[in-house]
Amino acid sequence: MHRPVEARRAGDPRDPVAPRDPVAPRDPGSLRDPAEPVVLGDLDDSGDPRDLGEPGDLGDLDDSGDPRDLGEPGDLGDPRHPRDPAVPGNAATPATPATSGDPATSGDPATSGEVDAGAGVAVERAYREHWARLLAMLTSELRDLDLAEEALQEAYTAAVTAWPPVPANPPAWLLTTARRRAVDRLRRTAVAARKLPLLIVDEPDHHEVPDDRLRLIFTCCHPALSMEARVALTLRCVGGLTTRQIARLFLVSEATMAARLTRAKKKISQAGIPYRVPDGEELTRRRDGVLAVIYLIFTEGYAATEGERVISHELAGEAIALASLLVGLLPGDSEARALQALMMLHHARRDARVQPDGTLVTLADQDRSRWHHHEIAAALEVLRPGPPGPYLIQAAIAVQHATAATAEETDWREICELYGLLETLTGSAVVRLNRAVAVAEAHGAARGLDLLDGLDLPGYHLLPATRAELLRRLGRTEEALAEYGRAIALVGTAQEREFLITRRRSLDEESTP
Amino acid sequence: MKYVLFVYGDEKPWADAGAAEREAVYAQWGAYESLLTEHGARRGGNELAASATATTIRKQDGQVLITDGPFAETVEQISGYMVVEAADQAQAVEFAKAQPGEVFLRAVHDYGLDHLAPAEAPPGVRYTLLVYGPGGQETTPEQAAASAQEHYAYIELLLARGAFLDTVALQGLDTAALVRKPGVEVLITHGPFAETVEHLGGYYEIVAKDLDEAIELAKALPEPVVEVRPVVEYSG
Repeated sequence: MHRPVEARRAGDPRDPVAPRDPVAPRDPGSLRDPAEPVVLGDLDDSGDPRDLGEPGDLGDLDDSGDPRDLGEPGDLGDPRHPRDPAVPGNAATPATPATSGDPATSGDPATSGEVDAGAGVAVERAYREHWARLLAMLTSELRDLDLAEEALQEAYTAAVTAWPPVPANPPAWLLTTARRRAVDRLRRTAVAARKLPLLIVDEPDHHEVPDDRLRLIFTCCHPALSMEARVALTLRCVGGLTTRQIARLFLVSEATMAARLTRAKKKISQAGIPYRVPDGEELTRRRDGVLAVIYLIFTEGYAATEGERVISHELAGEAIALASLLVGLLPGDSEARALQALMMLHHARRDARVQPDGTLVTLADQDRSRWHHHEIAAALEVLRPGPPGPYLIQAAIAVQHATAATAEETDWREICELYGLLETLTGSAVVRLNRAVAVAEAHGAARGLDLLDGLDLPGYHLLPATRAELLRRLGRTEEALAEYGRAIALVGTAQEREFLITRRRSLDEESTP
Repeated sequence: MKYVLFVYGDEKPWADAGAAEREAVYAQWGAYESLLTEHGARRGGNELAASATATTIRKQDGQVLITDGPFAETVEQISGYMVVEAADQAQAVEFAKAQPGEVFLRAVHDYGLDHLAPAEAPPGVRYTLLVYGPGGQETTPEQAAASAQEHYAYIELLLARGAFLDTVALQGLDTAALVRKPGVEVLITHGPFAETVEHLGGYYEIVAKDLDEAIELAKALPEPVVEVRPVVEYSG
């Protein structure tokens, strides 16, 4: 199994080369190594302090009727973000009008309800169903991603005012309108001194006509782009989110996000990044890069350090939708399927993970009736057997947890095996940590603790936190208290700190009767 | 003796320049090229796309790392180069003084490879592969010979692929000079230099189908760090 070395390194904050763009808070470029968080979310699955992998993912807001919730099984694969077809500078910028109870309702109060509600809903639907396909087609035709995107955005904006009546064939209407807008734009800019080179588009082979959306995905996730650019481009071009929405999700200004997208598109055309689905061995390697981008979007939502819970749910939903799209395009790819299933399984537990007061709940203590069992069932449907890859193994571990009726019935021996396989495959220290927790469950805390010896994860609070829990079980109270202290010094979020402090206090009280 | 005069400096003024400013700068370059032609000194050169479009390939510990951006994330970047024929270093410095903008110059090794350059570039995208080495390190004659053999083999590979356009191997830093132009004054520095200047060992000009092929060819280059920069095309 090839490790996505290039994809991991390109945006890696530990890379000796600093990111080119100023690093914004919670910028995807400053995130953890995308190959690692694969495992991070898993720590919660392994027993005790371990539900800490996903503190940003607070479930209780779901019950507030947030229309963007991905809670229903039918929602899976449907990006439910509020579409905002507004183009800056355009006077007519109503997005989806607010219709109470409508799943497609935009929560944006800035958008007025002047426009017919039916049109808004129709446009919203057209975004979800057709954006990526239309953009991919237009990009092929125009050989200019930037022009295609601008023209298509304008077509959607035009649709908001022009519909109803909703045309019989909305995508055809949008495509025609976008083409016309593109021609207008080309005419206006024909005098521009030096144009950017055209996108390099291969004539598709007669025997296989790949879906244009696949080309779009591989271009957006090209390893010569920075990780933050890949994430932003994928959400914009494949996910169909507006620049404003992406900026909001990553807590940067719209101008910063717009600049990042512009720079990325410029690089694509100027540096000659092709609009192509790679073939042969290259396909597997680049596919890994695409999966890393999607999983990074998910983990950003999943383990947001300070973010809002709505945002984290939205990002998780986007990532699942992107994976679902990819699975549709590469149905035989067991790793792509495993990634989708893995994210769905994690996401299905969102409501049980946090108490109404914001306190984290360990996996063992979670109310399993609050898991979204429809989603778990749907995730199992997505999985297919295949050669052991990092996502397939992690999905298999997640399946073990998700299908255990109670925490006690968890098959820890099987999970140990799977982590062993994953450690062999990835050589990751975080995987070793997870494996140690599983081994402690299956074979006793002492065996687990042995596996932590010599493990080097500087600054990573879950290592001392795990040591503390295992030492505690072995009755080594003094050492456990010291490890809690180390973990508390390193921990990043308030909920996690609160959790660790509570654990330490309870041990302190137990030991001093 | 051939010298390369690298256009070197902050890219921002150019990126921000309006059409009129750009026209003015291109006019300066036109006049400069005429000057070189008058002296029979002009041997080639390219404008490179902004360093934001660069892709850097690093080989370490048996792995190949691809990163977005140039070799060194510094304000000053190489944005092009002119190759000139000069009688000596002093004349090369005179050419550098006359060149618009700031310049660093280095003498070029003559390996007698000029005849390999195709008369006309084949269709495709042109890239300059800037080659970065350890910089300032002494090499034994054996190491130098081994390295030369590797480069000859690489040139063979490029020729076989129809990708070869030109190559330049820079002489040591003792031939380097940085020509700055604050106002009308000209300042010449002979070191120490910034990372980019210190480590640049030369370049290859290639033609490729797209960035994927350029990266593949950059990976095959027998040097630890290669920065892939698209060449700016003026026609059309």
